[in-house]
Amino acid sequence: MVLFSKVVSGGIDSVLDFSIEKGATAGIVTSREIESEVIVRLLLGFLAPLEGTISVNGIQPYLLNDKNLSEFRKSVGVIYHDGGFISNLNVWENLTLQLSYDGSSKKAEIVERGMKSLETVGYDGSLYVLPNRLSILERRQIAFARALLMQPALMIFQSTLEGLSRSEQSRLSSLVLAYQGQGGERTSLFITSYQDSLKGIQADLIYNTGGATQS
Amino acid sequence: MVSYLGRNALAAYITIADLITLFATVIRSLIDTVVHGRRSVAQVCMRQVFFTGNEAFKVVFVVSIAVGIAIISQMSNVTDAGRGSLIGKVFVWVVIREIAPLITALVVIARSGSAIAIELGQMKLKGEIEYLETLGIQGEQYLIMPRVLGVGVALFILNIYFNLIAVSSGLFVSWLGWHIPLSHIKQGIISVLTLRELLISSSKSLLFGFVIAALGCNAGMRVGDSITQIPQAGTKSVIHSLVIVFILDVLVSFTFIF
Repeated sequence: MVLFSKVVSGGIDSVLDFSIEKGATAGIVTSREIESEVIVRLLLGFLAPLEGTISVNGIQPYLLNDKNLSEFRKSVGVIYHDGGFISNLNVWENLTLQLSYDGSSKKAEIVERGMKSLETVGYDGSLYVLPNRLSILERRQIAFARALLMQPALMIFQSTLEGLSRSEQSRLSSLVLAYQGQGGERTSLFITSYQDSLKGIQADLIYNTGGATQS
Repeated sequence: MVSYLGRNALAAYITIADLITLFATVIRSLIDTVVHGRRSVAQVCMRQVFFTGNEAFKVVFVVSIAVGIAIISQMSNVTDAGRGSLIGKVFVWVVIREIAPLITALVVIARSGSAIAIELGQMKLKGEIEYLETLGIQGEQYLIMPRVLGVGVALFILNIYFNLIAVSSGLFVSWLGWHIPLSHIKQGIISVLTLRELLISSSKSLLFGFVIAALGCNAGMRVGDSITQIPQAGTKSVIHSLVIVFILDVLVSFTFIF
């Protein structure tokens, strides 16, 4: 469960007050892109709220020490609008970095899971190019594939469906829908400043930082 | 005047404090790496050894030949051609103990120290360090510790190459140009080349490597929101490294003398 209780933070004009149940798909519509970025940073513990409390599955990320915060972040998958890659690592290295760092999987298993994940998101480009060579869609596909590898309890999509053509948008939306359709207690959170981009997903709740909530 | 001195003293204090904190972080990260992240961190470390060592090798190769020839030429002029053993001793005292660690450090400062600062500065500016931390990877463990270790190891290896090439080229030129018997020079080298001399040279190169990388990382990680801070970070890393390496050189030499 994601809970924002009377949260005040720099970069956000209004007080954030909402909760998202475990397993739900929710959209948060912000008034501008910077608000989306701040909400993601608050969720990941990069920022602490000035007022109020934030909890993700009962954990208040901003109160954790470095080690516990790293562990917590492993349970959250984030698809940033630009992919969120390390620019001097190629596609494959970026994809498998987290899994490889985690150390719980053997090399052969990493290769197998990595390839399967890429197949799931429909990426068929080169594995050895640097991320700046990729299109926006490819970046988000790979970011999604990377997040899928860790099977996170919470998946955050930051402006993931923006800046794409209609066909690209529907392609990515169908991937997300397929992911959501797998059930379980997976929570998906779409944060965007462009409400129309949420049309393609079946959100249980859409919260507008301006105040209006649609269920 | 007083405020100028005060500002500089404060800046020096902050740099040294940062350096100590960074080394503490490196040690902590090293311990963490035993638990997890070995494979990825080792990969970054090996890359750093390769890039620092490989890129600097050509320069070190040329400079070490030049230094070897220059030292032997000067020594042959000031001493009697028959006193080959003195030339050998001077080679150990001057080249192996002092010049090799210093010159290899200067090459690495110019090439890798600034490169590390600029690379990390760019990563910081583009939000990549935060992206890394989003994956549950600690920036210090993945970015700083392997670079510090990698540059230290690379400099240690470059120092060995420098010594071997400088001594070989010196021996060759002295034999070819001044007809000094190689056995005389070799005798001189062997008579003073103790484990202690090798330890001084090696410990200097390792220490210089750690410090150069740490200062590069520190300058890079301090980049804020402006792109103009990236070249500033590169320059700062070079200047700080130069000053601290020369000071450390004196300190290490004195430590081993007394």
